[in-house]
Amino acid sequence: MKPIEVMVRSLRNVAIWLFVYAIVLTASGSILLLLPVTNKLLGFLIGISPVIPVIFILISIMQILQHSDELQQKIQLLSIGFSAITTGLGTFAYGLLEQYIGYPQYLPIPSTFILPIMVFLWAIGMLYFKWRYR
Amino acid sequence: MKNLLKSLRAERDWSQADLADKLGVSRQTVNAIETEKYDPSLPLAFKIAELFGKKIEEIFSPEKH
Repeated sequence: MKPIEVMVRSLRNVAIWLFVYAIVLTASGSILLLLPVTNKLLGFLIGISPVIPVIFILISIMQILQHSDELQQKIQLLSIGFSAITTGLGTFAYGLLEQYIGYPQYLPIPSTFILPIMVFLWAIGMLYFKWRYR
Repeated sequence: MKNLLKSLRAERDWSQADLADKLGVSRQTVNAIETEKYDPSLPLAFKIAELFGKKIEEIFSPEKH
């Protein structure tokens, strides 16, 4: 199988697992909010269930990175590095402000915001570095 | 690093996509090498040299002589 075919298949898998993730996340959230789940273990398993499609998303993204050519891998490395460092430093600085100045100027940000911030910055980085090597 | 990739490709009447296909890389990679925005790794440079039947130093040369 050619690298491009592997990439297309992996991209399709990412799309499928993202769709599955959205369904599982909505379902588990709805169950926990609407139904009285008294069993702690069952509640934990329902709450953690969206992690399963995330594992498959991770595997598919790793396959895409592994089968990319060397320039694409360099672009991804720079984009992920930009995203990780910017998110890390940004949230660390905000955390200090939150800790030492706090409410009401600096509202606490939920930790679930960190992944969307990283993905957004990864996309910004990818656009920039793809443009730089175009 | 300077290179003769564009002229070698033109001699054979190949498009960037043709060359990319033969090398197993993306068209963007071929374009970035031709425009000297990206220097290929040694394995890719060997692959390019082999494809054109030349030595690496006949295709690639340092910026300053």
